[in-house]
Amino acid sequence: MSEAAQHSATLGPAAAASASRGMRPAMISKVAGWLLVLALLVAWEASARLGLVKSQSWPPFTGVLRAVWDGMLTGELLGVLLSTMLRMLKGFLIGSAIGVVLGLLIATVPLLRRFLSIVIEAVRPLPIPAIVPPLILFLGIDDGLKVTVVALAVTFPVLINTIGGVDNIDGTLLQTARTFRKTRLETMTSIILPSALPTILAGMRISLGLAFVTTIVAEMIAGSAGVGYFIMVTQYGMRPDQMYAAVICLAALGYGLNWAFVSIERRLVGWDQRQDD
Amino acid sequence: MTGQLNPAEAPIIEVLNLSHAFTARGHTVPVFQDISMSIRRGEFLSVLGPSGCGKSTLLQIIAGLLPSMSGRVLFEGQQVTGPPPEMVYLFQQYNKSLLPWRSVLGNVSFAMEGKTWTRSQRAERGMEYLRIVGLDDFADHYPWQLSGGMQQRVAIARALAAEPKVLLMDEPFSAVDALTRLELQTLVLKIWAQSGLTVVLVTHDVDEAVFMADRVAMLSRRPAVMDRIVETGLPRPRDAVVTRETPRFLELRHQLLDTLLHRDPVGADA
Repeated sequence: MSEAAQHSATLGPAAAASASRGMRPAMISKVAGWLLVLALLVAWEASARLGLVKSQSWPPFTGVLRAVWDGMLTGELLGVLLSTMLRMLKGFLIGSAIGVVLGLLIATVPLLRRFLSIVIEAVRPLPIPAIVPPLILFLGIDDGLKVTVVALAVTFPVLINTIGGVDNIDGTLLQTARTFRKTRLETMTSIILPSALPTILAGMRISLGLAFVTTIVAEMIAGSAGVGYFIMVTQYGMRPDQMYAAVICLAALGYGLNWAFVSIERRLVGWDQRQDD
Repeated sequence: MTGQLNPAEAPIIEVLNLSHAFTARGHTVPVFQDISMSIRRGEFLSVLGPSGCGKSTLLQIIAGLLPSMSGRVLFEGQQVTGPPPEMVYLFQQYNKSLLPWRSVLGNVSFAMEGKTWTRSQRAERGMEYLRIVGLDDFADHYPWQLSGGMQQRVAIARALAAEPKVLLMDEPFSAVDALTRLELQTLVLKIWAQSGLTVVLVTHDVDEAVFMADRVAMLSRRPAVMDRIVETGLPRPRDAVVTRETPRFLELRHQLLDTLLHRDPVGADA
């Protein structure tokens, strides 16, 4: 019993000490960071208001904020943001599912690995936007196209990380499953999947960013709906305040998505000590 | 459970003419040759040998975790071709054998999943096994929050939860400090005495092999052969301090160490 008591006792003060040591400089640089953002926004506002930049396409920051507000009230901006998000999530989920399932299969069936590895290595380096125009020929410019493109972009990082995660499982853990006579399916769900989960989620986090970018790009190339299309339309229509409003919303959304994903990740794989290092 | 030692009974495990070799860069290096032994039901057998003599490999073949290259292993008369039920292998690297994403109780439950127990029965029985190893207060902890000795006790509780007849222990105490090792040895002996388990313990520690066992099977250097099997004949229950001071213990220790160190034996064989 005393072994654990000692353990937690040594953990406590050490953690507290490092926190109090690290707190001050961290706080200062964080405040300074926000001040920089504020300064840049003030510079933006001033440059437009004082006529430092004279251009139809350079509205003041407050004008952009106003456009965000109006866009939300009328529902126009809100609508395009939501449709983009929905499209992106569909592609993200489909691509992640394919990546995980295919990855688990490839990692555990040697024959499949040898069979598929060349195809995967050949397709993987393709810049996804490059295959949008050819895909339009088959899928048109509707949702089907965009979801497919996003799913394709998402699949590879998830696939590669799933294979890597399974490859790195310690042999002792697999032998443990054997000595307790677990079936292949039980070993898959109770040992292989949880062991590989931190690596899989890391791949999904990379893919989430890719999905976001890919959705917007696909909407710009094959435009009929969504924020990507909205940005193109407002640019052509000389409505810069609305264009910047969409861009600002995208920045906030991207930040929010990553934050949400990281919180889910912490919850799921908090046991993984490599996360803390 | 069954199991007082009864020499008339058929052996629980029979190892018949096992040989094994490693292949490295096209060369075949023999590890051990023609190993045979009978393991009695309910006995505590130590397998002692210098490092590199393949005693862990031997144990893995007995466990059905490795295929045998030549020779056979019989468990209760049946040839072992994969891990048999009622035989559990305890790994040297407890920290790699526990599931880090599961609590201590969750790890013990792992051994009972896929059987007929309900979730609450598993939890209840899991707590019983944790009580046996003295970790019932740590059921909700995660393995990384525990010391090495405590982690190995979780692994022991998990092995017991599978209700095996045979426990195969691969240098289970080699990674913990000396004092914890003595405590774990006493704990395992207590569990063995109460459960009627058959235990096969692989170790390179002469002191540990003699202290724990009814019989010590000693392997020679690589390529290893069975050097001899000696009855310790030490009274039970064993005491971590007193048993080690008895003349018989010292005599055995002397003989076996002499052989391990390749010196001429001083005493006569047992």
